[in-house]
Amino acid sequence: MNKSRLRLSLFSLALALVLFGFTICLTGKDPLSVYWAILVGSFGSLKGFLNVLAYMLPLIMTGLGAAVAFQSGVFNIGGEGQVLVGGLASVIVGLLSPLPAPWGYLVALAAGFLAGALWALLPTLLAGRNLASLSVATIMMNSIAALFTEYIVKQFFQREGASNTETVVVNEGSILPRFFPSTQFNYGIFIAIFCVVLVTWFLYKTPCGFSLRAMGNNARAMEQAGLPIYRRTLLAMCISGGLFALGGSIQCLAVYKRFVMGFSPGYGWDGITVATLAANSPVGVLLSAFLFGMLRSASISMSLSNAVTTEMISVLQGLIVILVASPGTWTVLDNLFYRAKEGIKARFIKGGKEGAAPWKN
Amino acid sequence: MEELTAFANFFASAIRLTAPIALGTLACTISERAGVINIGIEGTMLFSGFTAAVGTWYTGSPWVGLLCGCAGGILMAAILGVLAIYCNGQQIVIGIGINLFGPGLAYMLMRALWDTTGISPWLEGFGALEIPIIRNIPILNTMVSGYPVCIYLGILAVVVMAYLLRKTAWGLRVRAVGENPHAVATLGVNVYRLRMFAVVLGGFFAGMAGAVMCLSSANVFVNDMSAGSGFMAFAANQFGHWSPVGGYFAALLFGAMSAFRMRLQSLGVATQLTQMLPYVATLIGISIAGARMRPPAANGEPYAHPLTLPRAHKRPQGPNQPLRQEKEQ
Repeated sequence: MNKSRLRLSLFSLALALVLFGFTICLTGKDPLSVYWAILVGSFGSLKGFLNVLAYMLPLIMTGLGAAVAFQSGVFNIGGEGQVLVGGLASVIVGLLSPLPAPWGYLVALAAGFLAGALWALLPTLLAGRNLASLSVATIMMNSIAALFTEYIVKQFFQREGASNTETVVVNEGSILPRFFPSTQFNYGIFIAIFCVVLVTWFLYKTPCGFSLRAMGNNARAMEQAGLPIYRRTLLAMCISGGLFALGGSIQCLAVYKRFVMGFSPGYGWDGITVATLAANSPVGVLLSAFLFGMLRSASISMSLSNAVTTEMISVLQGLIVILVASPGTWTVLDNLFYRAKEGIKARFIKGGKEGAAPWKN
Repeated sequence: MEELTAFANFFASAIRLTAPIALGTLACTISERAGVINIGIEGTMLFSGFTAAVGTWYTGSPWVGLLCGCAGGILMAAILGVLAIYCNGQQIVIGIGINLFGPGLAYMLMRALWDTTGISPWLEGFGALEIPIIRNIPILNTMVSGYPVCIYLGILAVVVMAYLLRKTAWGLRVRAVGENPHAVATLGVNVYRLRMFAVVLGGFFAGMAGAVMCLSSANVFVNDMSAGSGFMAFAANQFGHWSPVGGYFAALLFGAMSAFRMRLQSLGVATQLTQMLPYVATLIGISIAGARMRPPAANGEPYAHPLTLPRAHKRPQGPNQPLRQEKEQ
């Protein structure tokens, strides 16, 4: 991440937090107390901190997925569906495979990756390389995934006597172990870090990753240069879909140990914000995933859920995405500020008509 | 006769379900014809549905609700417009941001106002408009008359916008700005203002879509009630080849799928599968439209505003000095 992008992200985050504070005021709450509650919730106790780390895990994976897609200039906003499908696939494999501990969950995770990749491949094959319609197609796959997973679980894997749609607990060997039984922080961190390293290596050190990034910068030029754009789009979608899906797999195998309908409070959408804020850099994803882990854990934990609600997070996410996506805002503000300053100077310090609008000269 | 009645009922329910999608499609069409991709229709619809519900709830009149809905839509479109047109933002990403921001804000305010996130209080909806002569003819009365007023308004909006885009100087400019903004600018038209107006007009119709969704038949605002119709609208716009009338018929196709879904549900097919139907139809629609698509040439291309150029750091300071030296020579 270069310096100007880092500055853009930090400025946008700051402005988004300020605007978000105004929005909280609008609902009649004190924004400072909300921010304080989030900070205390995440750093006040070791358990809270470990919970933040636990919520960070799926966000790292989905953030990586979105980062790969955005760096390749492909708008994969079907992350939510890929998370669900990935979770379901790895739970099904976890239910069926009798493998012992390390192999059990590794195979299940691989199945999740594969399912997510396929789920991302389908809309790409249908929509082609038109970016706008590709994004709509992936969104349609979100809705379809929610219904599809519900159907599969209800039809084949429904736990007897459960009030909501969920499967039975997966086999012992397929459970992703936790570090401490009392918190949800689990071995997924190794997978997350491994994926960060792998994606960084892939994007920055391999010819294929370079071609993806070049395609993201200027697809038309790369097409002229002879790069098979459509095939690279398919590849980028597959990788990104698989990474998104791993987020769901980790969450299902480690935290719930089964597939529960609605287990994802929007990890797919979080991933998009995480990647946008991180300027699509895999290492930056770690940091911004931590930030959103704080928000998620605050919104889910019982003591804070009154102060921080799920919809608040999506407001903040929306603000961040909007602000980071329009870097010109800062230049415009700078120019406007300059104009205002010059105008005031001309008006009040020197006076005189000819200096009233200096920028028009 | 019985089949005819069944068909008339199916047609009527399709028209009802189409109304919000069609208005959203119109919003997409106008803004994309001017060269700005608005993928945030879904979020706009949810937010404006909420503002419409609030307006109706306070005053008890759906007309005020409709106006409030339009205002909410204009607000969201103005965010997109200012950032995409004047600040050179990435249109699709801003649209994604609006899809997160709009509904989130709506639910947040809903919790503050009604202390719930699920469902608003019952609202006064639009009354049905019975057309005088037609209402006495047996089949036609279900097909043509008896819809809520706002649905007729929606169809009227499509016709008016088709006329404006096709037959007026303003429409020609809007279409031209979507094809080649540089050429339009050389003729002395303010590209930014024109694009902004088109986007805001689109927001107006998206807001109307939200209000119609909320006040035409359900008469409540429910959490996530648009259920993807904003995205269907986006797809319908492409499927209808960026024309208001074509977009309406494409939206009618998706609306008919939703109506068909309800018919299937009563036949006992698993709910999840039938609910998938409109989404699958949209996917297929996109893939069909994608094969021979010809979007406006400058669709999604930013037209840089001079304000987005970085300020020269070494400009001579002081008001009475000329800012550009070369101009004096």
